Amino acid sequence: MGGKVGNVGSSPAGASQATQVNNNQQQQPATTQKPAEPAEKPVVKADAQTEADLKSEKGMEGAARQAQLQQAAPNMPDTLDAAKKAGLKKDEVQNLEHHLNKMTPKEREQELRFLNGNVLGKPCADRGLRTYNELQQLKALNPSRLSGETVRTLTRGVAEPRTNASQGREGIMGQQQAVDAAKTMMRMPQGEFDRLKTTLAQAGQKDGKPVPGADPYAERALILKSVAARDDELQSPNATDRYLQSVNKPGKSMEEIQKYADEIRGTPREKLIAQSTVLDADGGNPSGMLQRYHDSCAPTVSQMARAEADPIYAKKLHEEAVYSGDPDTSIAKEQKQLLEDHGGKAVPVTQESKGSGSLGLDTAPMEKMLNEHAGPATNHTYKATEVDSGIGAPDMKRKVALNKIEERLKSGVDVPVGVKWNNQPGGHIFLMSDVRGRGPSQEFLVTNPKTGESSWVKRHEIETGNAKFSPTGDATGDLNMYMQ
Amino acid sequence: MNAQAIDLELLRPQVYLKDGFVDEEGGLRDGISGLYSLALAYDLMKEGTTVESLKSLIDEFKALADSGLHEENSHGLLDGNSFQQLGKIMNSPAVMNSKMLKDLFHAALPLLKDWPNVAGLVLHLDRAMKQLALLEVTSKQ
Repeated sequence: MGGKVGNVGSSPAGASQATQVNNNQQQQPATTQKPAEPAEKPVVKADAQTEADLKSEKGMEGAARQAQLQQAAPNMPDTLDAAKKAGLKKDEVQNLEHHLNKMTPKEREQELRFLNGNVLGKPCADRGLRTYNELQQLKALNPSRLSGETVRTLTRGVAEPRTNASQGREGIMGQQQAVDAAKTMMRMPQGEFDRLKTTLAQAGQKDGKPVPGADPYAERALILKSVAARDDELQSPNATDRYLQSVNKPGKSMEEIQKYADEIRGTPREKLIAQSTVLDADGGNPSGMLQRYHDSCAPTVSQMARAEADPIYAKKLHEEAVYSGDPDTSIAKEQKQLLEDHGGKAVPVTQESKGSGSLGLDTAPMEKMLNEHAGPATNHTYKATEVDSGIGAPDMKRKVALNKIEERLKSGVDVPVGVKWNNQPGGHIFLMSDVRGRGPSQEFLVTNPKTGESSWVKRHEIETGNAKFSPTGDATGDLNMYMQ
Repeated sequence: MNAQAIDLELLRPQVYLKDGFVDEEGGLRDGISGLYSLALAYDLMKEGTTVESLKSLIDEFKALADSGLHEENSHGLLDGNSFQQLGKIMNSPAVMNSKMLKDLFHAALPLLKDWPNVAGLVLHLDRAMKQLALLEVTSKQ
């Protein structure tokens, strides 16, 4: 294999079926029909409201909320015990205790209500609690920039599942993004910070009144996620932005964020979530973004990774049907450009691949492409790592690779992986975006750009080198590369 | 729809800059990044100043910001070094070869003591450059 991930993007045995999905889409290009909604609506409501939240929700049922507040406050030992059960290590629980102990009794009661109502018991409670711990540390450094309200918004953004489907168990953002957003808020120019504060305060409201059905918390989380995706530009504005700020205008990035916030204001949560990802977050029925060319799996994965990090980019992609094989769209043009600018050759999935000269990306150009296209939004420098390099048994090498991938995923960094097909030439690039469980039964959430499906793949199957990475088709493959 | 006839020839920097680039609240004055920049772009096109020439001038202003404009002084006065650098820009070939730019800088000179007015000039030029690019395209069609 050398530096290559096989003939990346070439069709596996199951790809004929997968391509048929694309072709079917071609027959119905105008409307990408989404399947019927699952019986259980993926609505995640706040279980507990803080006092500050209550003040900001004038239109809510005041009496009911007050009654909720008057319920017995959760106590600290039970909360810490629950944090340990959620997966926090001893020192992390001690950190949490330390933060809570520093608060006044009233603040502590508020925070305990928040943690019990909005973090503990959620699928990603451990990530939410770690985020909370880290944000509390940052808040202590600059409380005027990082308020308790913002800490709670970011923590909820990490802890609360996007949808009720297992594919949507991850929060709106990862721990790393929450921390990046907080650090950016602490370091951005005062004028930009004031604009952001105003924008956040307007979430879920039109003309100063709450919009029925809106989810201001999700809006704020998405706004802050878009801040994280623009951390460099916001923290260190370029010359043009500084000139703009000098005449009280927002810099380019802040202008984008304000525009996005205006566009999503008052939007119901389900739609907010759907437009902020191009993965199959509602699960069960493929709806993730499709590659439009036989060998554009890597560019498509780059688009997915960037969209997962930047809701503004994700929303832009949703101006077209993402679950579509149409090669005559902006999404397709970007895939083609990313592929051909890095040495590949784009042949639409609607055309015959054989003899067309279709060509995927080698590992090094793929790494470069990810760093140029997705890296600035994910705030991550991708480094391709061959799984079979070094000494040791193949299954041990895969185990080590999966440990690294697990670490990245838990911190909120999605990982592009290369899979070499077994018993046939070629390979494919997938995106790993989440991990659940522990030990051999642990599972990784894998999205296939060929089919738009996101599905859970067991660790032990990947470790054997013969995993079925996609539910469509029968192809099995071997994890042979991942982007650290 | 009613269209008001505007004589672009009358939109000279000496007239529209009489109150400065920024208003009382510190924001960009109406038209600086709109009608007045369009008028400038139109005149620049007529005299043959190119987009590339304007871009090189704006790049010099970006270098000026990189060395002298920071969050702390973004609403304050230019320091000595920045003022000296500004003088060099105003005497650069891109300005000296253009009557319109010389007129603009002549009218702007008394204002260019603080960063908001310098910013106003740069944003004025930047918008004029984009409008000039459009005018160049449409004039060839």
